[in-house]
Amino acid sequence: MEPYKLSLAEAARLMRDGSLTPTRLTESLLDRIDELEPRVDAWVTVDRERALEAAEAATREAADGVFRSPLHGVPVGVKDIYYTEGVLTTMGSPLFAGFVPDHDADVVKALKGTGAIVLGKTETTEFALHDPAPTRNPWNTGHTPGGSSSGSAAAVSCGMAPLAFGSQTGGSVVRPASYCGVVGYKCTYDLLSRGGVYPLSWSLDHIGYMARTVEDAKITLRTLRPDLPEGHKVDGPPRLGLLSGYFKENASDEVWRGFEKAVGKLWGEGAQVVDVKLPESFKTVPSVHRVIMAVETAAVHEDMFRERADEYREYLKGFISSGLLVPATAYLRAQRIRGQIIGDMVRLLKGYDCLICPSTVDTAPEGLEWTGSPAFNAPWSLTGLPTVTVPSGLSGEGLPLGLQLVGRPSGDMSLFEVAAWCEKALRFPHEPREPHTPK
Amino acid sequence: MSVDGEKEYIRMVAETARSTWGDEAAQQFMNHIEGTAKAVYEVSNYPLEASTEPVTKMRPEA
Repeated sequence: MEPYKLSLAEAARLMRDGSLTPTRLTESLLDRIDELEPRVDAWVTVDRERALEAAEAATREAADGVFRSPLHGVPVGVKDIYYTEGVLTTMGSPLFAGFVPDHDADVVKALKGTGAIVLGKTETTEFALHDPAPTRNPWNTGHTPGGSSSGSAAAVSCGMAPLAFGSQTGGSVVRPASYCGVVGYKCTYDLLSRGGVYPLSWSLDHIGYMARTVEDAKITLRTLRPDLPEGHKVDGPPRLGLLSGYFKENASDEVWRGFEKAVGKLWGEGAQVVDVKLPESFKTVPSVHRVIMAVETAAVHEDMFRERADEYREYLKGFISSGLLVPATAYLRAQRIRGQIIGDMVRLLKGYDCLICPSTVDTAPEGLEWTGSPAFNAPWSLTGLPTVTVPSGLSGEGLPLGLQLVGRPSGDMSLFEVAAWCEKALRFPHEPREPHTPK
Repeated sequence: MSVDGEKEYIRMVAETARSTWGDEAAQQFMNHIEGTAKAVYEVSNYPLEASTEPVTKMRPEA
């Protein structure tokens, strides 16, 4: 088997037993990028020379029996809003064209320390907001891969990298992961450091990443946060709280049908699935999220916007302008309501291993002008609760659907246990996707 | 919260936008201005109870 087809866990096992080297794996992935990048456009920078140097160093260490961690020799992609020492970091904006940081983001530094290999920088929407990247969805290159972590999702989906990092403020990890048929994980707020990741909205920004299996996602978190307690083992079928209400009202018919079908499979495998009623405070989520994000985004960009407004793309320009007009008291009130929503959701979670809902409102929209709605992910960016999306099936058009699992605060490792159980029940193939371009 | 109150608030914010950035620029961003103003109006009119607010827990006796 070509090494690019391996999941992270499979590649790590083969490197441990000596039948695969980090260099061979990296070369295979770089070949895959060369082959597919003209059709997918997932990368801003492929850092070929440095990746091969790091792979050779990892190979020498492995030959001496030195494995720094389960990620030793594993190539990863990193969204282009993460600072990377000596490597172009554009934030998806002409304002940062040519910017080369002199240090790594905390996560990048940690990854390098574990022996992982940074392959390069993946495409992002402008400053991780709305104005789209050029990336195409491997499942149908006429459709968006979602955003803002567009390149990371597409790269993992078609086998350019087994693991790629993104960030989420609204729905920027879970949505593209779902659209591209891969596993996506957004951590509990601040469980992984945001240091060196260009902010969009400080109190809403989260680290997240994409992988092709839940096992890979779990290994990654365990490696980056070895101090976390083991997750609660799922000995039998889990107890799942099914969120309808807001989610059923806003989902497309096809997404909701697909969700019900997925729930049917989980139920068929023995899961207890219980309808739960969302708290009254939940109805304010879209407005509370918008007020906080508009103000914080405006504050992040205020100085640069004053000097160089014309260099911003249209959506971000308008969003910043709107945030500059929000009264301070409204921002603070939004934060106070947010506290109530968090409390209500944590109480709701108490009776369940996790909550479930569809990962997205619709399947990946056609065209590259819009990256889709974050409406099913923003509640979890607002509440800081950990989420995992697991591919759950295909639409009539052959586009992926996702099941979103929502866990307790800092219950990320336990959430992976439930996600792995669901992944097994749903049986979605995790091999890399050959990009499909309709005639 | 009333429909008229919301409309009036959005109108006031749009007016502020025009006087801040000029008619042309404000018009260009009007979807954002109105969308955020609508959200602000909803947030500003959502009833809060001190007893259920996390900030209240900062009081030792709470």
